[in-house]
Amino acid sequence: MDKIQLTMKNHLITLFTFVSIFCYSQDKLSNLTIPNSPASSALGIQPTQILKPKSYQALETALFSNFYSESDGIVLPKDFSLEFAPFWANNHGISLTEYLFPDFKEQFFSNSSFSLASTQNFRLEDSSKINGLGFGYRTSFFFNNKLDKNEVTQYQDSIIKAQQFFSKVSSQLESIYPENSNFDRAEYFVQMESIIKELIFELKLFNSSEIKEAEEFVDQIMEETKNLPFEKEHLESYINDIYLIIDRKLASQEHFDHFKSYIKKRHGFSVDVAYSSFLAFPTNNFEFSYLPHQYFWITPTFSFKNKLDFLDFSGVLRYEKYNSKFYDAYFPNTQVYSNNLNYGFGLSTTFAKFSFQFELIGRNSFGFVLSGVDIDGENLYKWKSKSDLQYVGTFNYNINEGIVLTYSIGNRFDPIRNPESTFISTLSLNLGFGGPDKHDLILGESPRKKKKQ
Amino acid sequence: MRKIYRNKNISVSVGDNESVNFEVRFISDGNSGVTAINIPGDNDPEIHDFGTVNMGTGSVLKKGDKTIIVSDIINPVPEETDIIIEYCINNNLVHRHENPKSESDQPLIILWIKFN
Repeated sequence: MDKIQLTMKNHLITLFTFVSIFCYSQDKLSNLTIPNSPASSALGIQPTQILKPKSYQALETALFSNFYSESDGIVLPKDFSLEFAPFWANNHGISLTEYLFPDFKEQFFSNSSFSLASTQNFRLEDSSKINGLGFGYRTSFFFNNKLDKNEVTQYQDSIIKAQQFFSKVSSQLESIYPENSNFDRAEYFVQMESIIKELIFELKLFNSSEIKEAEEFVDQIMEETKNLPFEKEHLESYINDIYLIIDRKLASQEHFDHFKSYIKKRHGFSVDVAYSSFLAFPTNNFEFSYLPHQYFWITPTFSFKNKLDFLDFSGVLRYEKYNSKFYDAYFPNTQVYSNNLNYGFGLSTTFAKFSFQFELIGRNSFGFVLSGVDIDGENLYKWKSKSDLQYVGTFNYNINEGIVLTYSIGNRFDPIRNPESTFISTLSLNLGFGGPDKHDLILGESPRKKKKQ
Repeated sequence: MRKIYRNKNISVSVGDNESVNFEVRFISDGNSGVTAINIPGDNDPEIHDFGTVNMGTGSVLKKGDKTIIVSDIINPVPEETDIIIEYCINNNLVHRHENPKSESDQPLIILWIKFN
């Protein structure tokens, strides 16, 4: 009974433990998740900050400001992670259509990213902490499909139609731009109405059966324009506000916002491919290092359309190769399998401010495991295999634009340290601050000030 | 967010018999838009995304008080942080527009060009 009470107490303590993860992300917080670059995954750390530098210069600055100290030279920062996509550091002048429908080669290059992570807290079996430097690579491929193409085309067509009308109306209204603040506003409105009516007809903004809607469209614009307060000293702002009324009536902002959301979550099949590893420095000496393990994984994901479009289905296949020399030396009493194959699936869904993810992953571990020492002092190995299971449910709640509350519960794989401790119950508060880019980084303080752009 | 950028002071020298070509170049990635060109007469050309159109001869363009160019641009690409577009006349850069997307990812760019 005492044991049950103690376990419950431990679980409750864990449940109410807040883990504040301060992360930097370039995406808006509606997309904020716990950062997980391949490099930080190899180290098994939750990085305290992820930098996504936009330019080579920013990357250089980030590396030097975090990995270089004037007094000690090269140092490993504490729990640091950086991910860099070289393709996006330069301009290529590709159009939106080229971006949306690239071939496989273009996807390989544009989606490639490299990551680097470091920790001073990688724990060995005897609980001593050592330095670790993780590095990783990932890319992803989206498979073009008819449903997605139709959806994208519909968005583009409606946006282009509005752009055609708005750019043309604006160009003609600019030709009657008032020379000074004492212009005849009544005459301006007459000309403006005439221009809008003419272009509605010319550009077929409405069907022939929608005459009433077209008239309402013009009437609403003119009514709002005439009610717009006019201040002589702010002529340009006044004219701009008139244009913005027309733009609002075209609902171009709404179409554009929906399109942006869709681009981030397109219907269809995609595959992420990643590799990561890390260098461990067991004596905390840069001259002596091991490559303890390497991960290679493939994550196929399918985003549904129509009634199931709230659901994402992901599979995962991950191969982990552990270096038995390192683990025999620094985890002598722990069974570590040199080969691990993880496979499983995950489901995720979002309802307004709530999102939920569930993953079920199986693991097959196999390899020669240290079983003892012979009379000559040589290590003896035995071929062994085992299977275990990880299942985790995660609930997220976007408190506001900058804060996400996350609760995870489930059972994880037997960890190398404390293999009995498989229960997961964590409550996390993720704060996002918008990503530092080349404008935010203090480029002037870079040890190398040469400009590359 | 929508924002209007108006540039009123662009002047370009062209010969009376010179054929004038106008070009829109996307420099940053993921831009999409329509550029309307308001020149004297009825045949106003337009450019979808990027490209070149003929605006006529110098003598016709000089007749008008000003030539108006309006680009309605969007950039929904999450990886891109800036909108950079160059406007050229007969291969010479006449205006380079640049704005961070944090300021506007849906700019309306207006150019007033005086031909002389």
